[in-house]
Formats: sequence, structure tokens, C-alpha cells
Amino acid sequence: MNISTFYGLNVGVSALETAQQVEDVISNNIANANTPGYAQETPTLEEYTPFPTVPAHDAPILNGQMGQGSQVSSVHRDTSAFLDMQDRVNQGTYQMYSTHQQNLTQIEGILNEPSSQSMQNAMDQFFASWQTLSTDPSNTAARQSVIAQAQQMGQTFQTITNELETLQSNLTNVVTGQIGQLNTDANQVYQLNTQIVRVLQQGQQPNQLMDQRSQILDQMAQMANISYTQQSNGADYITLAGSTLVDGSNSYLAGTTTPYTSPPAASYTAQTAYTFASTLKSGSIAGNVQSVNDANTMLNNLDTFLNTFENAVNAIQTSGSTATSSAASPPPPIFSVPSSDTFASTDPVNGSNHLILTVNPSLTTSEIATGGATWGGPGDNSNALNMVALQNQQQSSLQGATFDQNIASLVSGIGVETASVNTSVTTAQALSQQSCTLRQAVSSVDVNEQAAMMVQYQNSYSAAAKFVSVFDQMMQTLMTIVP
Amino acid sequence: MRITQSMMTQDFLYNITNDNSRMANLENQLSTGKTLNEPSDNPLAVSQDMSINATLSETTGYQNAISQGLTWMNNTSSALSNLNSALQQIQELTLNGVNGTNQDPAALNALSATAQQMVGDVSQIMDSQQGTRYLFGGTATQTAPSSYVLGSTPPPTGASSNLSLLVAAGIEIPVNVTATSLMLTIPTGGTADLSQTLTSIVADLKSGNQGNLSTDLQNLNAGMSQVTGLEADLGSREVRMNALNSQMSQYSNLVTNEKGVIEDANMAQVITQFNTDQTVYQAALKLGSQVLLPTLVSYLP
Repeated sequence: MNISTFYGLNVGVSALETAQQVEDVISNNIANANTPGYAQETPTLEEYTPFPTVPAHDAPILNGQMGQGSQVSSVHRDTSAFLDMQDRVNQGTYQMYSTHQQNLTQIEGILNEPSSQSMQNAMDQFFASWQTLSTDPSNTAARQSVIAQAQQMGQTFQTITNELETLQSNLTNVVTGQIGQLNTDANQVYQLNTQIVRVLQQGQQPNQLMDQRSQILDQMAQMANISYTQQSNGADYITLAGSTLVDGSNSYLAGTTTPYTSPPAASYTAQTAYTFASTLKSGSIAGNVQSVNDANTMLNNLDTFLNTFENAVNAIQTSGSTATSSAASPPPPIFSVPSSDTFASTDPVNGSNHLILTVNPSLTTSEIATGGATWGGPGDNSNALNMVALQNQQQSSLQGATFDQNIASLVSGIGVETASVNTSVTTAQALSQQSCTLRQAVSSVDVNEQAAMMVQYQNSYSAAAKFVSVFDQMMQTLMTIVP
Repeated sequence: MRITQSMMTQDFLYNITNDNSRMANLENQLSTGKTLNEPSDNPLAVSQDMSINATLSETTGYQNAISQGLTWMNNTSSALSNLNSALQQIQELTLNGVNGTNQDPAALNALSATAQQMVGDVSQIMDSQQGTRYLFGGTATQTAPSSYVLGSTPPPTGASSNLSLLVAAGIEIPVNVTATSLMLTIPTGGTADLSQTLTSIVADLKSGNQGNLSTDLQNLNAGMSQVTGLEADLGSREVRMNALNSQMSQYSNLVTNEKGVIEDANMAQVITQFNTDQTVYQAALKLGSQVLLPTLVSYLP
């Protein structure tokens, strides 16, 4: 028994098909060269099983086996799981520092120091007005100026407190939104897992689905320090800070074992999401949480400062005397105490009330106590001198610093932190740049390479087409032999 | 290692971004003239800078107080010299009375009337004011001293108190002389204060009482030396104030210079650095564009 006459034709057709399929893959690569998350696809060419496969009694008599042409056995993505994971970790670290840096820059802008229009200046002007008053205690204009400077100081600090509180509650909202995004992404990964597993079971390569999943994992890694493992069936299981996000049966709301629903269960409040977010160690969520903590610390420090300040000023004021005061009815305080805002009610997740420096609204110019413990006449400025001396007194509630030193240390504290985060950002950026380069070296599309392959397979296609044409001519020759 | 177009683009952008951020920082320093724009630029220098700000504000306050104090003291000083001349004239009148050459009642009346006039002058000098405040009133600056010094009302609270100003950290200097110390304090070597002495001079001149007039003269002399003593004391305080004034302005200059050292940008250095960075940036752009553009595809037929 002989082999078929058209054996060679079929082999030639397989060559044409192979070359065409490879060109299809090349065109897909070029089309997706700039798609984010896309990994270059490489076709694997294989020989067909040779003919005849096993010796049999009705096999043709041939010398050896004959090849049956080529085929594209699979198209797979070029990735390195190790480089992918490294890159994701580095991106997460970089995002954390970069987000923290942006927020700290905003905080620095709110404090607006060193400058001549901010906190320290307001306080210095307050003490300067008392110094002026001490040179002419009966001067009504000087007294009015003291009240005006006290109000100005209250206003300056109130603006700063309000802006910090706004930043804090905005960031808290952003964080809870990001956790929501994380939950949605985890659910998408779960859906993709199901589809990928099904396709792999059929023996196909779900390249597009895996590209999509890789893209989502990149996004998630930038937000939080997820860890994921690829299972033998092709699914990716994701855990985050000890709690499972995606496993074989479901995707879960972050930090709980409740399966994901849209909208999430009523018990999954903003508070739950934020509490979980505070346990994360990397990613932009962690950067935002750290910034919220920084804003909160600054607000608490300002509270301590303002509280100490108004108590000290009031103590000096009420221990002095005016023309109409007496031991039984001492002069009224300059600042109303207590006087806080209602931030806790506007930001139930994270807010707590903070101090507003309010000038006693009923304070009149004649009630400013310039006189000493016993009234010595309209020229008595001893209490005014005490108030001026307050600027240089060490306050025990401020760890022995004066008021000016306390403000300076608050500002330079933020400066130190921002400077160190700036250094970390530079390092993290260099690291993430390097790991991204390594990952792209494996996975991204080189247009030159694709163009060269394109030419190569174009030539193969021409050769195969030429062979088919020659074979056709051979058949023609055979036909003409028969009259 | 494969190199792909997207890698080259990314590298290029990373380097250009770094160049840009360096130049942006230098540009900020150039336009503000300061190296210290944010606390994170130099956290330790910020803390120094802020404490210098506080010091400057205090120093300005002290300089203001010193100038106020000097004005007060100058006015007091000239009022005191007027007081001296008035007292000298009264002294001459008393001497005339003591010498006894003018014994007839008409002459005595005339002397007494002139003395009365002079005492009125002294009363006016005691009521010298700066603005609406009485120079010699102590801390009772709204009460005219003549009402209790040469009148019968008791001195109000604060009439004998010092009027002090804070002119340096922890340094208070009294800037006044009180009417009570001038007129209601019995001088050493005398038996009556100036207020009583002046009143009794007018009465004794009228009556021609020689014995009393001698005692009065003694008391007047003692009172006048007390006035001179108080004037000298004021003078020494004025000297202190002037010394502090020049010290404060020197200190203010010193501190302002120090602030400049901490926060000002060295313009020459910054501009040179900026030019270098600009050259690097332009080179990167030019060469980058030549590397990024061509691929194999453009050379295929």
C-alpha cells in the first residue's frame, strides 16, 4: 500500500496554515503593544505526528517515518511569575510613600510655616499688642487692639484646625472608597478565575482572560499589600493582611468572611472598612491611613497648645485688676472655655472634637486687666507686664517649652517626617522602576522583534505557496501523460 | 535582557521627570529668594528660623517700649528743670524776706503775692501731661497731682507707684518721678515736705515771721536738693535706657542677618545649578527623541 498522491499537498497546506496563524499572533502582539496588562504572546510550533505512527500489518512499506508538516500547538503568554510578584510588591511600596508624600505636602501647606502670616505670627502679634498696652494702659485704642489680636489669633488657628479636619475626613472617605474598590476587584478576579479554570480544563489557553486578571492584580497591589498564590487549576487565590479575599468558592468583603455582594451587607459599615484599612502595611491605602494619623496627631497637638495657652492667659487676666473689679468679682476671662467644634459628628468614622479659641464675646475694653493684684490706678501696668512675660515662660504642659518653641517643634516635626518620606519616595521609585523594567523585559512587545518575525514568516508563507504551485504543476504534468 | 519600546519610553520619562522636578525646585528658590520655603526643605533650620522670628518680634516690642520710655523721661526731665527754676525764684523771695530789709506790710504783701504766684507755677508744673496722662501722677495717671500735692485731698492709690516698662527680657525700668516723692516726702536735713514748706512760706512772708522763715528756708533748701537728687536719679535711668536702645538695635540687626543666613538662597549658586540642569534637560530631550522614533517597520519596503 502506498501513501496518498496528495500527501505533499496536505503538508504544504499545513505550512501555509502555520505561517498564517503565526502572522495572526504577530498582528495581535503589535495591536496590543501598548495595552496595559498585556503580555507578549508566543506561538509554539510543533511537528505533526509522523506517518505511520505505529507499525501495523496494513502499514505501507516505507523507509522510516515521514513527517506530516507543522502546526501551532499553543499560544502562550511570556511572563515570569517571580518578576510579576516582585514588581507588584515594589509598586505597592512606591504608591504608599508617594501618597503619604502628597498628603504631607498638603499638611505643610495648611500650616504655612515659616511665613509671616501664620500661627506663630498671630501669637507674636497678640503678645506685641500687650507690650504696646503696657506702655499706655489707659489707651482705649491699645485695649481694642488687644481684643482684635486675640480674635485674629483665634481665627488663624481655627482656619488651620478646620482645614486639617477637612483633609482628615476627605482621606477617610477616600480610604473607605478604596476598600470598596478592592472588594469589587477581588470579585472580578473570582469571576475570571472561574472562567479561566473552565477554559484550561478544555485544554485551551485563556490568554485574554489572564491578561485581564493580571491587570486587576496590578491595580490591587498598588492599593494594598495583597499576597496571591496560583493554584494548580489555574485560579489565583488572594489573601490580604491575614484575611482571605478570593478562594475557590467565593470572594469576600475585605477583613470579614462575608461573601461579596453589591451593595455590601449592612453590617459592613464605613467604620469596619476603615478599621481593616488601618492594618494594611503597604499600598496607597496604607499611605492614606498614615496621613490621616498625621493629621490627627497635629490636631491633638494643636489642642494641647491652645488649651495651655488659653488657660495661662485667662489665669493672668483673672488675677489682675481693672478699675471696677474686686476680689469678689474678678475681671472676666479673655477666652471662653470650653469651646470646641463638632467634628466628631460630621466624621463618625474617625473624627473627634477639637478646640476653637474663642474670645469672650462680652469682653469690653475696660475689662482688660492691666492692673496688678491690687488696683494701682489707670497707669498700673503690672498685669500687662506679666502677660508680656508669659511669652518667654516655660510651660509644664508643653514639656517645658515656651509657646513659640512648641509651635516651632510642631512645624519642624512635620518637616522632618516629610523630608524622610521624600527620601523614601525616591528610593522606592528607583526600585519600582527597576523591577518594572525587568518585568517588561520578559513581557512587553518589541516591535522590532515582531517586524523581523513578520518578515521571516512572510518568506515561509511565500515558500510554502510556491511549493503548492509547483506541486500543482507536477499534477498537471501527470495529467498530460494520460491522453 | 530584551529591550522593548515601552521600556525605553518609560526610562526616558523617568529621567525627564527627575530633571523636571530638580529644575522646579530650583525655580522655586529663584523666585522666592529663599532656600527655606517648606518645613521639609530643612527641618532643623525651620525650627531655628521660627525662634528667630519670635525673637525679632519681641525685640521690636522692646524697642517700641524704649522709645516710649525715653519720651516720657525727656518730658519729665524738662518739667523738673522748670520746677528747679521756679523753686529757685521762691528761694530768692524767701531770702529777701529773711534778710528783713523789707519790713513794711505792703512790701511783705507784695512778696507773699509773688510767692503765691510762684507756688501756682509749681502747681502747674506738677500737672504736666503727656497726652492725657499726668507725668508726675505715678500710676494714678488720670488724677491731677496738684489736687493732692498742694491741695487737701489725700493722694489716690498708685500716686507713689513706679511706672515701669519692660525694655528687655526680664528688665523693667521705671520711667517716672512721682509728685509725692517730690512734694510729699520729708527731705533729709529738713523737718517738713515741700508742699508744707511752700504753703508756710507764703503765709510766713505775709506775716513777716522771721523765725519761721529761716526754718522755711532750711526746709526749702533741703527740698530743692531732694528735687536735684531725684533729677539725677532720673538722669541715670535715662542713660540706661539709651544704652539699651543702641544695644537693642544692634541685636535686631544681628538677628536679622542670622535669619538671612539660614533662609536666603545664594543666588549665584542657584542660577549656576539651574543652568547646568537646563543643559542636561535639553540634551536628554534631543537625544531621547532620536532614540525613540525609528523602528524596523519604517525601513521595511
